[in-house]
Amino acid sequence: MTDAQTHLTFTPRTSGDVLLEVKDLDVHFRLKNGGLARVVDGANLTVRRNEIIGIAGESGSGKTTLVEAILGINRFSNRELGGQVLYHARNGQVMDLAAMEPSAIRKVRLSEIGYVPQGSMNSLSPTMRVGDQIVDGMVSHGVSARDARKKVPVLLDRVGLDQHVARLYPHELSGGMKQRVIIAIGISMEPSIIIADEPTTALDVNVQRRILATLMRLRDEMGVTIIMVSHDVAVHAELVDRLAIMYAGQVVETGGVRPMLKSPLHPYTKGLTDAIPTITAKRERIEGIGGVTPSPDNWPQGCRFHNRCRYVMPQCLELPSPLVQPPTETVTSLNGIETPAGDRKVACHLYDQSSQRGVAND
Amino acid sequence: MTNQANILELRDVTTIFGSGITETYANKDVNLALPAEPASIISIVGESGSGKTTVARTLLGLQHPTHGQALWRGQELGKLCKEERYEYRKEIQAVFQDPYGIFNPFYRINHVFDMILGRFKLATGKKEQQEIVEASLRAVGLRPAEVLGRYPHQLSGGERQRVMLARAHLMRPKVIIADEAISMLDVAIRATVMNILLDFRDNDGISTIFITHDLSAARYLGGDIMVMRKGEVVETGDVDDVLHNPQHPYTQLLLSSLPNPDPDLRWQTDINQLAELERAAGVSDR
Repeated sequence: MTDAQTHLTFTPRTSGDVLLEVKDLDVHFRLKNGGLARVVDGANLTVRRNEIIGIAGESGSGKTTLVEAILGINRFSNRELGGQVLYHARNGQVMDLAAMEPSAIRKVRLSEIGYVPQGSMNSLSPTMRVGDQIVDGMVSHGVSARDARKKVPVLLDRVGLDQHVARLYPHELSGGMKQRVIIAIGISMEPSIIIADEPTTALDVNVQRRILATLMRLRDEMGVTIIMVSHDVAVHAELVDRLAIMYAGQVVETGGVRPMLKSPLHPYTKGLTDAIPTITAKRERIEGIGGVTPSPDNWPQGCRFHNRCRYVMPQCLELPSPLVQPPTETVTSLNGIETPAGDRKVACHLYDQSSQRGVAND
Repeated sequence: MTNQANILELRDVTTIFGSGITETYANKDVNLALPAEPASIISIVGESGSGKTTVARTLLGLQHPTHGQALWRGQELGKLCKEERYEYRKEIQAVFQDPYGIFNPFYRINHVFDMILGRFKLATGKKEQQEIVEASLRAVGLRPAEVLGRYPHQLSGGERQRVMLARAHLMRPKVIIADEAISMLDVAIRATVMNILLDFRDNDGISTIFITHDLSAARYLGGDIMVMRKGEVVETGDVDDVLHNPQHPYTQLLLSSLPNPDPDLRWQTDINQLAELERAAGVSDR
């Protein structure tokens, strides 16, 4: 199998079957002062087989808490969970991960859903050889130590590392190599999904490039589905097929990465894409998104973005905006491009059937 | 010979940490010149461990070079007398990476302004003090009433970083040295902070030495760029020239690895070409 050449051209793979459905997921935390931090609040997300789906959003928007809820970790005693996480297993069985017991979901993790947590390259044990750490996870999921050891070279090769790395200790590896070891652990049980939470943050750009190429290769060679969490829209633009933008604990827009970044529908998506400098475009002044990120224990009423939105209308202050497909076949994006609604979904009153297109009030 | 036309200058600066087996060249023959006029921006770009921060620390007088000279208006930084140091501090200000760790959580935001107002006698009387602080806060796009009197934890990271910029602005410095000042901020707020630096340059005549690992941020600010690797400057020049026509293999590697937010412009080089670039640049990671 060739390396990254295969995905130089843009090939959306969105036709796959549904693999994971997050339905109205709430992850709330009861605070000591009696308040409720609604960190994830009514999030909806559909993940299809064999796709790379990106989750973007600013810090505090609930990206990590969302994927932690999918994996059934982060079980603090003050957590209040609502909604469903439906996982379509290989044998056709549909499981609600949100309702599963810790002991049951432990079996699902690693074998069905691999996880590359944020900053995990620094959580390798300094006292164990890398190969033994890869074996550990497999053994705890019922693979014999002998079989597990045999598999280590294969796994290292999949992530682009030499076999001798198995005999090294973490301090002998660079950041990029450690991150690939973590990915090797994540795929050791050949899961259907890998969730990678900021896998390239704090890495140099050429190392980031290699990690992304590694993930791409895993999808192409193993057919694994990848959920990629990153705050960096440019990383999503390079890697993912579909994108979900989170804001204030909710998914506010989903769709193919190209239409979403080229012709954003949600004002927050537009703000994000406008705020990134590039080295190719004409140099002109770009503006960040003004205003203050709201706090999870006190989200704004109505649409949660309304206090920072340039297109705000009276109903935005009152009515919450659910994530829905635009009612018409084509929609005019905020860049003024007429674009097919397709499989796009957006949580914004601008696209309500009844509402007239608001005029930017700046 | 001294060159008073440059407000800050590094001449063949070599900084060595450790000795014997641990000897590390943090900087090796680094040259840099920031003219006093007109205000301009120099970006220093490189991977972690490339010596960017050592350059910043040297320019701030926090680190003395092993060989070579660090000069402020032609005078060596390590040999300034007390009065000169005072003037130097007025002219050269710093903004650091971490807007969370830099504030003392027990003091209100006003404290960072009160300290320098007293120490540098920037204003006479309470009223004038209040006025210049508010003017600086407005210069960074903050509303004084929403910031003054608050505690650091009540502000977001972007607001805190802007408070640090307002603090630097209050001194009316000639140069701000910004060491990874945007890397811990959200994407949506980074443009705001960079715009403040551009406004400082255009409206207040404040130069910036902008240290970053983000090539696109350097491109956005314009001016000159200095690409560093393993303590050495590998390429320097006008940012547009360097990025459109990179000469050094390491600069080419950085450019070809940089993700582009335009999904139509996905990476054109494949992984084998990348490996070749890495070999040429002397980077190995397998």
